Amino acid sequence: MASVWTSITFRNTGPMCRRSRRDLVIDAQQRGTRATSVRAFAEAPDPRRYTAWTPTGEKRVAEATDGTGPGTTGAIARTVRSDDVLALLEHGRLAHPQLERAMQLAGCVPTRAGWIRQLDRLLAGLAMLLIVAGVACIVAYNWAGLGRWGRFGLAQAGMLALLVAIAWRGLASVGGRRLLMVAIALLGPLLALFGQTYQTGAETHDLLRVWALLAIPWVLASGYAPAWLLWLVLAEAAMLTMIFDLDRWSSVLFAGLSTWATVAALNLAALLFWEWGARRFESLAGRSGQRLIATVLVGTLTVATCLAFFSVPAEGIGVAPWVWLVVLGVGYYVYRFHRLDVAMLSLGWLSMTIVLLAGMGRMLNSLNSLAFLLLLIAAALIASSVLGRQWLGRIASGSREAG
Amino acid sequence: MNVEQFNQTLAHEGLLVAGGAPPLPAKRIPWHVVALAGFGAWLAAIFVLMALGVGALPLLESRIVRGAAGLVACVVCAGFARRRDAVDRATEHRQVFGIAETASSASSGGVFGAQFQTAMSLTGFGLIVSAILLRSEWSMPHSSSLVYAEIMAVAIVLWWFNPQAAHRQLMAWAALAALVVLLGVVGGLPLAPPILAAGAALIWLTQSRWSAFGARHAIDALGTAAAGLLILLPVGFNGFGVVEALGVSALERHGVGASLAGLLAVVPWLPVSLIGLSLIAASLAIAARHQAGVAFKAGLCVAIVCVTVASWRAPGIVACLLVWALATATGRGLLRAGALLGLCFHLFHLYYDLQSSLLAKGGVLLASGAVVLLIRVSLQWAKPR
Repeated sequence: MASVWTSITFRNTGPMCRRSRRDLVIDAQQRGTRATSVRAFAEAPDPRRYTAWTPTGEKRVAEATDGTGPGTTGAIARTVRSDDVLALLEHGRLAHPQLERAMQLAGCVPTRAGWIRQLDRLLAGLAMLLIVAGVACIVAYNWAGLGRWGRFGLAQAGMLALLVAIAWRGLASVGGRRLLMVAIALLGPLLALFGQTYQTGAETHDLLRVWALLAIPWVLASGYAPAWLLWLVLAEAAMLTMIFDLDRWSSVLFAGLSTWATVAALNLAALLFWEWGARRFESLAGRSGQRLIATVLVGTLTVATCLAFFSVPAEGIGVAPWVWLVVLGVGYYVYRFHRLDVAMLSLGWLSMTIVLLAGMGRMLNSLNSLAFLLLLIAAALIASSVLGRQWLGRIASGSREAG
Repeated sequence: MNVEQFNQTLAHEGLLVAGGAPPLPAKRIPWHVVALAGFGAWLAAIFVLMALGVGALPLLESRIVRGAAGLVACVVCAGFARRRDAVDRATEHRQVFGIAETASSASSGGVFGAQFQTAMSLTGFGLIVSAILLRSEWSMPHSSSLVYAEIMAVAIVLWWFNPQAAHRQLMAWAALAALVVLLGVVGGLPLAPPILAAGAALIWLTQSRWSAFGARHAIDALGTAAAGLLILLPVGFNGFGVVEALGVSALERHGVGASLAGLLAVVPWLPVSLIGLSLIAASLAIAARHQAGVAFKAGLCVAIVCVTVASWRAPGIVACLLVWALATATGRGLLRAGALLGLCFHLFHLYYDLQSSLLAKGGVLLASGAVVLLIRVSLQWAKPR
């Protein structure tokens, strides 16, 4: 049986498209290629010949298909889906009796051994779920009678057991890193238990902030990209809840910055750090972190700009449109010409559309005809969507051809 | 496996009927660009409809005008969608392997236009439904089963004639939802999950036949809707939740309806047994594809019967297991994820509803976990070698 590959496919792209291997790795990650393949490509001595792993964990050496030389590659072909195989059947390219075999070759449906494995995993997962839920019910039943020492003892004994398991597996293994992520996730409930027991009066953003701060050493120790992403989600949640907990947009925090400006500044710093770190540390590689940070940054600035249009009284809100404009301009330059990222450009376009609509709503507020106003907004939206799709589609196609 | 490698593998294994290597796949526009255009299209459609609604509100008070406006919107959108579909199919014939890009070719040509038409057609459907309901003056307890039969008929016609993927999917859901309410009206709601289970199993296990007839997209939509409703429906299963919310539970309980209700009162375990039978039939069909031995098949049947008996108060568990098996057998990842989520939900719903202390619930959960582990061990023992 032919091996099922998870690999990067190369296309003949010509000498004009030479790019460094690091850029190609980032490109591959952007296109959703599996991490193992990307790492394999990054570490290969010859980019045309590199090591890849099959889904079953077998190590194979792959040949790049029609590559033209080191660093001249990039396009990633899409993965086969069951619809593709059925399409072959529909168009008479595949005989009916061969369908199951073709589906199995494509990896869309399991083989006989695969079925047993799937069933086994399902039953194991279900059993684990039921047993954990059963234990949780029994603990909950006895919770009131446990007392402070009992509760904390139980919670920390669970955490300790987890840490022992991590030490046993080792942080070099994926299992150990995943367990550490579970420990990071369980820090929050432990802090919540502390807050509930001693009635600290902490707000949600306090809990999230302390959670994120305490998790930093563990995240650093893990050196694991998903752990960084989890930490980032916690930090962003802390910042966003801070906006809503602290009198929404109008509070002034340290250095005279208002809440929205603090969140924007912290996110901008985080974005710069992440972009810098992505090129240097494996655990920060990938684009998910940058995109998450950029979404919160642009989202905050977009809302602040819209509030400024409608003259909502908030500290320093008058500056928001200018900050928004600068951030979008710099972002366009960086992600269009320096490091192409269509997702970031899409985010910017979406933000511009929202601000455009808010601006139109503000300017046309005095119109008497509601129907006319709605039609104008719809027309602007149609124009923006069509132009945006054409522009971004052109860039995406161009990047593929260039890649 | 990517398309290029798959092409090579098929050629290497000699599985392709016609000669020559299939062409390379079409380029793909990133999902976020498509999502951006789709989001803009729906928002723009809402604004256009609101503008039209504000202008034409007095006219739409008439049932006839409302129905006619809805019909025109649906027909125009279906016409555009069919034209687009014809172009896509012609492209597919030239580029045999690119069919999975249909929706996105949708796409590359104009995801905005496709989504805008879908929004307009759905509004048309809404206007037709409101015209039908207006006949009974929006008063649900006075509605008759005919109302839901009419809605179902409209949804079926649109499902078949408008080939736009999202629209087709929504119409399939609407048609089956109308069928469920219709069953509720005649007192046969508990029979809805077994009917959906049988339908879903039949559709997904024979999908290759539909592909050969060229009706794959339409039937796929129906299969997805049947499986999706099957996961969701058993939530309010015993309490007639959905139908009672519409205020029609006590309607038309005469004739066939009364007989059905009477039958279900006597044998409340009938629906879950029927779903269990569907699961057994589907599992045996899948096992037969893999030439499994008699011992394995017998073990599988015994396991399914055990699970069905244990979960007779929560038919959703068996229903989700059926959807999981069908989705795995046909390579539908999203449906499989939905089935697993549904399974977790129904399991916890079952234990949450137990009229006992937390301690007793904990004990039952632990015992259930042990039973599942036992089934796992017995399957390991009976697995084909």
